[in-house]
This record gives sequence, structure tokens and C-alpha cells, in this order.
Amino acid sequence: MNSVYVVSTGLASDPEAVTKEPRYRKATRGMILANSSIEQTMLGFDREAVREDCGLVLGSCHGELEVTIDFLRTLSQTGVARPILFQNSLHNSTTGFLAMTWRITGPLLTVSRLHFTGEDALATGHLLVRHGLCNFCLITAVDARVAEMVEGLNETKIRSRYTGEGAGAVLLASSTGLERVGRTPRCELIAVNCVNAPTHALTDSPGHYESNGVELFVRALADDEVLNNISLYKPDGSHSLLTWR
Amino acid sequence: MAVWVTGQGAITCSGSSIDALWQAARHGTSGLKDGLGYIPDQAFIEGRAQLADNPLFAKVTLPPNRAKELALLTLEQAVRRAGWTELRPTDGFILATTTGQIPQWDKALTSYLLGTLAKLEFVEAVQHQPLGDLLDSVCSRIGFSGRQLLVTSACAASTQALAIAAMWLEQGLVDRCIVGGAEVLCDLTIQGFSSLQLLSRKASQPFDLHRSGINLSEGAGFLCLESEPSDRSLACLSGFGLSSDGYHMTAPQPEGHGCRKAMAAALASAALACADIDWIHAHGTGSTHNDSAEAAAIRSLFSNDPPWVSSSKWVHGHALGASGVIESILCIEALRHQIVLKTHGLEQPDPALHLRHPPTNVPTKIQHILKNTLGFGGTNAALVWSAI
Repeated sequence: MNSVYVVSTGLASDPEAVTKEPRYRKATRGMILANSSIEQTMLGFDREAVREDCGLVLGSCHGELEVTIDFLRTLSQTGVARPILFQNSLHNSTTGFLAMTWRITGPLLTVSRLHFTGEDALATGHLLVRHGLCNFCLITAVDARVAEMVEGLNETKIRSRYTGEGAGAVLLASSTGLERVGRTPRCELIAVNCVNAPTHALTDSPGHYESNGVELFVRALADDEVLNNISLYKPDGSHSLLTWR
Repeated sequence: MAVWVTGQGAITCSGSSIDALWQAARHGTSGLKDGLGYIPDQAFIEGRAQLADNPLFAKVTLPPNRAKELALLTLEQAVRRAGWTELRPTDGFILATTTGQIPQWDKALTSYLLGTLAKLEFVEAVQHQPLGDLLDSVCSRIGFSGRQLLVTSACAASTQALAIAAMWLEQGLVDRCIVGGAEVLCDLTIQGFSSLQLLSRKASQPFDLHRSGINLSEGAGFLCLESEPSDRSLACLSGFGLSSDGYHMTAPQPEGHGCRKAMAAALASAALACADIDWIHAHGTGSTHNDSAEAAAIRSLFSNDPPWVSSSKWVHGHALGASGVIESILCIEALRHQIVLKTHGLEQPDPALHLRHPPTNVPTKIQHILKNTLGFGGTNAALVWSAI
């Protein structure tokens, strides 16, 4: 089994700053956030050296909910199903958009598991590289804020699931991959473990977004080079443990 | 690589058991009606009765939620068949779905936004929106706390889930693993696929010259996987391959480059050559573009001399994220019965595809079957199923 290294990381920039670019004409907010985090991760990389041997794992708890709402509302009001809204409405629409943008031909997976969505994306990318399915793997986890949901769920605990938004990205590589791009790794990712809570009562946590595990990992790496693990506690009392060296 | 299947369960529009699905596939009985495959109520009734008889599920309360109930009833079949009397913290659980529990919330959400539904009902309904709620709820109800994952890579989801389970087992992350897919029909997919002009109102005709589109269907399939063979083993998952097209949001790359890459990777991981494959159970949806891209990939990899190629979508429809595991179950049954299934609905093979279609169900020696899936977003996955 391969060792798995973190080569670079990135966070989404403000989507409002990039939404008017022509290349995002048909993109959703989730796609823009996720792509922005990958762009930052891939800064300075020769994408051609990576892409032929690169997988992509995307995590999203709510998926393309804003587009799904648009599709369902248009259908309900006019009886017309709009194909562009449908093709952008599935969770893995975001993944397909990123694969096209970055011309990824390796394994392409989409995962979704409430608070553990980001951690599952990281763990799945780790699995792919460790198993030798690809020498590079881009991981991104994204959720986009849907204003109507936040307003509709005002004064409920569920609201906290929809208040925040963001995206984080990580490029993982095997030692072969590292040699190919001539990079020193940020760290070796050892394990990602999740522990479910015995109860599922949500606590309120404004600004939180469900798939933020990748973003918090990226911030932990940036904040303190002495750390070698981080525990992430969730609004339902469950937690995850990410370990690296 | 090799992991072994010891249990399997299926509920589809063709019935409430593995045997019902296998008999339908053998005899060409389609569960589709007016181009769609809804699971009949009788299948749920039979499933509930079986679940009540299983001590492991005796305390499970079935929710008034079609997707959750479907998953639980099918899971029970698989666990019973495997002879598992308990679920352990060292077991794994991977669920695949595309739309999850969408019928529980889609109409409520739109009605609320249009001002015709009370907020209380909206709040109740929207809790089912995250796909992870389906997995979380199923695991909670059976008291499972081990390693979990939900894969939602469109039509390739449960095929990918099986590949991940194989890696979990090989890397020692779990001792045993449950893998399942569950899909229920909803407006989003029916109207959405219709808007893309992909739906056929009659039963699909994969690889036919006059194929006119796909049939969406409901269905669930579950498999219990173990890392060592035993006297309960039914078949062996001996290889897998994953790839993407990076080409289009909904259409496959026309020459099937990604599909070919996934099949080649599956053969390599099983340490097999093309000549070792006895049958390709194709994705074969009956859509013009899918079938021609998949055929191009097969021709390319198998040097214009492919083994038997057929699809079973005419029987059970296309259950999207659950299709890979449902069709894997047919591969396992075919290995057990040593029969290559014909493509029901295929009347006039498209000569441009140059595939080798079994003219009827063929009793023959089968050792290895290649199972293909292609999904939206250019996601491809292939498995190799092998006889014990």
C-alpha cells in the first residue's frame, strides 16, 4: 500500500467575485466555490503532469439544492422541466463539472454524509491513492448557502445546517506522484476516522456548513505546523479525528 | 484481489426477492409499465413479513418512508442469506443512491416556497433532504455504528460502492462489509430525464437498431462481502476499475475512452486477460449515445472480438444509483446457474455496434463476468465477478 501525502491545499474565494466570469455562465454557486478551492490548490502546478493520473473526490451534504429548487419550482409553476437545471441538480453534477474543467480521467467519486461529508471525501481520496488507483487525487468538499432554506427554517435547529457555505480542497499524492512533480509534501496523511454520536440532537451552530471537514483540515495545516492531528466536533455530538505527520 | 459475497437481497419492479429477479431475467418478464418500473405494493408486504421473522431486525421499526423502508427490507434479505446473526463495530456499511428520499421533501418544499404549505410540514419534510440522512437513519435503526459511507455518483454509484468495499476489506479497514443501493422514483428524475429526451415510453431495447431511450425504475440491492471464502460464498469480486471521461455533464465520451479505461483497470486488478472474460453484462440502457459509446469501448478493448455482451435493463429498468448492485446480483446468479442471459427486447441488433449478442439464454461454462456502468458526469466503473 502507498503512503499518501498532502501536496497542496486551497480554500474557496468569495464566489461573488468570480460569478460574472464567462466560464461560469452555466455553473452553479457550488461549482464556483469548489472550482475556486481547486484553483488555489493547483496554483503553480503543471496540470498536464497531474491530470492523466489524477482522481477526484467531491463531498457535498446538500448537493446542488439551489438548482434542484429552481427545477422543481419551474416545473410546478409552468409544467416545463428545464434540462439545464436538471443536469446541474444532482450531487455529482458538481463533480462532473470539475472533471470537465480539469480534464480528469482517473477515478471520479461523489460522497455525502451529513457532518462527515468532508472527512469521507478525504478518507476516500486517501483510499484511492493508498490502493494505487491513482498517483494524485484532488479532494474538495463544498456546500453552498441557499437563502430560501435559511429563511424558511428560521428559528429551527435545522437552520444551522444551511447557514454557512464554503469549500476546501486538498491535492493528495503518492511518493511516485511527488517525485513526478518535484514537490516536498506538506505532510503525510495517516488516517481519517469518524465516530458517530449516540444521539442525533442538533445544537445550533450558525455559519457552519456540513461538509467543512476539508476546510478545517486545510486551516489546521496552515495555522500550526506542530500539530499532527485534529478532532472536529459536530453539532450532533459526533466527532472525527484526522491524523498526519 | 478477491472478496467474497455471502449474502444478497433485491427488491425491484420485478419482485421482492433474488429468485423473482432471476426468474424474470431468465424468462424475459419485464416489471416495467408504461416505460417506468415502480415496485409493486405486494413486494413491500412480503418484505415486511420476512423482516418480522428475522431476530436481528425484530426491533426495527419501519418508517413511513419509501426509500428507507426499501433499503431496510432489502438489507434484511442479504444479511439473512449471509447467515450474519449480528452486526459488529468492525463491519462496514456503504450505501449508494442518487436521489435518496426526495419524494419525502420535494413537493413539500415547492409547495412551501409557493405559499401553499404550512411551515411546520415544510420543516418536517426538509429534514430528509440530505442524502446522508438515509444512511444515518438506516444505520441507526439497525444499531450499526461501524465505518459508513454514502456514494452518490449517479448511475455508477453502487458499482463504485462495491469497489470501495473491496478496498476497505483488502486494506483491513473492516472485517466484513454491507454494500447496497436504493432508488425510488420521483418527479426530479422522471421529468428531468424526459427533458433530456432520454426516456422511452415502451420497454427499452438495449443495442437495438430502433432503441429509443431508457426506462427509469425503482429498486434496491444489497450484498454482504467478506474477505475470506467460506462454504456460504456465492461468488467472488475479483477486480474493479474506476475512471472518468472529463468530457460532458450528461453524455458519454462517444468513443468510450473512459469506459474502456475502467474495463481495462478492472481486468488488470483481477489479473485477467480479455480472453478470460466469458460475458460482459453491459450498462446497456437503450439510449442511443450510451449504447454506442459502450459498444465502442468494448470493441476497442476486446479487439473486435468481444465475448457475449448483453443487458438486462428491459427486465428491471434503470434504477440509477442502485443499478450496479442489482445487475451484479444477476451476474452472481448467472455464475451460480452457469447461464449467459440474452438481451430481452433486442429485436434487430444495431449493425454499427458490432457486438456479439447471445441469441438466447446460453447455458455454458462461465468463470468471469465483466460488469459495466456509465454515469452522468462521465463517471465509469467496472467490476469482474468470478465463479467460486
